[in-house]
Amino acid sequence: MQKILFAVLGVLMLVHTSMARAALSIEIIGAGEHQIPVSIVPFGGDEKLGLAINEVVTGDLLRSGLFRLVDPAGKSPHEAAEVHYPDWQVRGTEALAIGTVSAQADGRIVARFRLLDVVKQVELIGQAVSAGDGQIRAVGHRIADLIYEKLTGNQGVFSTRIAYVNRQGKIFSLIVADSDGHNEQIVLKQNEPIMSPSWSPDGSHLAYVSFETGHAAVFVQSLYTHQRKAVANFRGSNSAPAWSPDGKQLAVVLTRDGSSQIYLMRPDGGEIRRITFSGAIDTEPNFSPDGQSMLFTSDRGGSAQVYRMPVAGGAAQRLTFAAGSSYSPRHSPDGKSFVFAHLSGGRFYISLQDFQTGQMEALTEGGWEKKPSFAPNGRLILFASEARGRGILATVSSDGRVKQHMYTQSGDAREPVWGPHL
Amino acid sequence: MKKLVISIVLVNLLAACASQKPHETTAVPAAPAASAAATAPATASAVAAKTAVDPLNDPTSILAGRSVYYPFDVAAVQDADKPLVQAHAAYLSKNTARNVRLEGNCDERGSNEYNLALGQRRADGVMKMLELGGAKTGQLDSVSYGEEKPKATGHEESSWSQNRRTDLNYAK
Amino acid sequence: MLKLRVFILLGLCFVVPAQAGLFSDDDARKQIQQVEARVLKLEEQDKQQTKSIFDLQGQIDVLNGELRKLRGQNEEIAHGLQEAEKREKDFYVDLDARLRHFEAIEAEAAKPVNVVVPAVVDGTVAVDPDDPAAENRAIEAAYGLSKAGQYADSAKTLQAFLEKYPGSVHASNARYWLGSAQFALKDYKEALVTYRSLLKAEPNTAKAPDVLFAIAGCQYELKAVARATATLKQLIADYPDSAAAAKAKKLIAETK
Repeated sequence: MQKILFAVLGVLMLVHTSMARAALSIEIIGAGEHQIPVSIVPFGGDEKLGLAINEVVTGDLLRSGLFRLVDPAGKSPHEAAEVHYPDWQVRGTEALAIGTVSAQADGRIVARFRLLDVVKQVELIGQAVSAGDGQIRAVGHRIADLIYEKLTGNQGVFSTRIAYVNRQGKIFSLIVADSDGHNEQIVLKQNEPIMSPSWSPDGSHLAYVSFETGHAAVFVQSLYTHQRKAVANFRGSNSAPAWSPDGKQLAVVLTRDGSSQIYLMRPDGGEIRRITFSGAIDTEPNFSPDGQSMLFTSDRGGSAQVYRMPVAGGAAQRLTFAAGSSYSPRHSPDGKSFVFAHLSGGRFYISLQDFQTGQMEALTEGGWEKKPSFAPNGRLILFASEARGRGILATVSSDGRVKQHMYTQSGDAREPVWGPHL
Repeated sequence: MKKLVISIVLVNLLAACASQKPHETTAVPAAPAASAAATAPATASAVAAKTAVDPLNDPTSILAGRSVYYPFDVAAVQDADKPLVQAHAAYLSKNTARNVRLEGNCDERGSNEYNLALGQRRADGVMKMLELGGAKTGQLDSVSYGEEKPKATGHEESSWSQNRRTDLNYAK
Repeated sequence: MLKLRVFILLGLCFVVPAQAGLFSDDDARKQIQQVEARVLKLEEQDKQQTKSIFDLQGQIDVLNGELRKLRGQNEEIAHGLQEAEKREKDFYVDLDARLRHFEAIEAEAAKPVNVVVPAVVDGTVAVDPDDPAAENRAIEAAYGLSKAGQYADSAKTLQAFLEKYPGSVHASNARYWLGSAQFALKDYKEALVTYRSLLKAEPNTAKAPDVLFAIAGCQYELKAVARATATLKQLIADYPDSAAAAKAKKLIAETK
């Protein structure tokens, strides 16, 4: 079922996992330097559920690049009393996750799990995790988050969701999926292009660009009620929606007054006001986490570059100066840096720049890599890439060490964006 | 067949205009003249060109060209394409019932959003020229597809050069 | 223009038959030909005009493009200049600090001498906080005092400077010199605090090896020999190629 292939490339390790039944297959390239060895024992009772919860947890932890999985090799304790620590110490594992899972009569999935410190022989976590509607994966992601948080000290992002556009021939689908690409849900499917999905800060709505009216118009759609509304549908193009951190404003790009300029409006389309006045292309606005300033792409300097301006208005300052052009800036969750797509020498690189020092660093080796966005914990960056002639989703750790490719089953995956914590 | 009928009507009309027949009242030729003008908007140019074919449908006409091409990251109409745009402007100014939609496209270099903006700038540039050339604002509409509807899908210049264009799409 | 032409042509259709009685076929034909020629001429003129307008539009496009390019170049030049200024300042501050180090040694050797120093009121130099030049004058004054061997005044001035300009580009040098002054005043504990605050504020400072060496010096003076040795070892490990590391190696060898 799960084939793990280790190939040592210098200090890098190449891990390939493929899941036959999965809509996406995942390939992890590179690894963190200090991986924590952990063992995830198959949960008791999961044979009745049709999905091995430990595989969900294992997949999540592997993709983070921070863990090394140690095979339980036949041992399958489910309770703390059944754990014989020396067995695990011998294997070199440092942390051990065990537990049981069951489906309740009402469809709720309840897992009781423990994380044990093999070295100190103490229990780190003992907790019940549950989810309704038979959502075994949701339970697995939550457990992976708890393990990740306990062992790395950072907030986990496995329970968060991502949105992207899948293009298959002339059919475009707006898809929301788990952070590992599973559990795909089609939000919108049509014969006209869809672009630029953008999550509301509370994760309840998606704003996006649809061409269903014959030209680019901005829609806002509830992910719960599926109600949707065209909030910007003026002549020309209406695009690049971006939510303010408080969710009360939407920045959009309109061409109704001439060239592409940035406007602010309420998410229902009201109170529109223009905030850039360049006469050039100003697009791809992105609010800073404090909501005070905004990054955007502009060609006012003759080539596309990243600029920053106060949301209240004022002069824009150019931030990118490397050869080539720079697109699609997004703030890191801590507001200290931004990630963007850098086109140089015919290749796109996902690059990170520090606001304070102005230092730029390419996180990827370059290729057809576009549209980066941070995971809410700032540790991973999701972007659109290409492999084997298809558009795929990929992630890279914010230190550039761990890369991961996700292959959708068919078509081109594009325009990905990582959603917020729910 | 239809063209032939229009030709005959026009020829008759010219003959009638130049004819010496004093009995013909102005009302008789006026009716076909008015209807010819309404149903065949190309009357004026057709008269001048002594032909009744809508030049838009003439494969040998410059108007048969419906695309303007650009270098990378450029939105200004290039000199080579200006006669084409001018011809369409002249056609639209003579045929005020015809509407055209300018559809801007880009190659895949640049972000999708940037390319949407660039495609719009390309389409709007052609629209501006058509206006300057005599077309009415109401006849024109512009949209951008950015890099979303590529004609060629390769990652090389031969594909890209085909995708960097504005199409003039006449309403049927 | 166009409407006019259509009108003329249509008008002809009405007018000519009506006047057919007055004119011969030939006259009518001639007139039609004349009008046609005029229309053609007008059309030609119209075409010329449109071409001219297109050319003008083309020129505007080119100029717009040029303007953007120039703006871009302007941004790049301004950025390059800013970078160069920052680098130059860093170089200057670094060089200045190094030079002053030697000058202080010389001053120490040549003591006592009378050096004219800027006016000092209660240990602080009178400064206008809004005046950027005042910041430079203040630090100059403090350096002057150190140079003159007036360590107590220098320390006071430097402390006042750091309170007034915590974010100054000279802050790192001010701390370094404050530490040196405190060391000279045999106030090793305070010197230790100062040096550590410098490393905390600027962990990547070029002066880090020297600061570590000075910290070890304070620890030696405070009779914390083991700690001093540990500091020296850290210095050697972290900055193996620095001059301070060479000194540290020598010192460790000597104290063994």
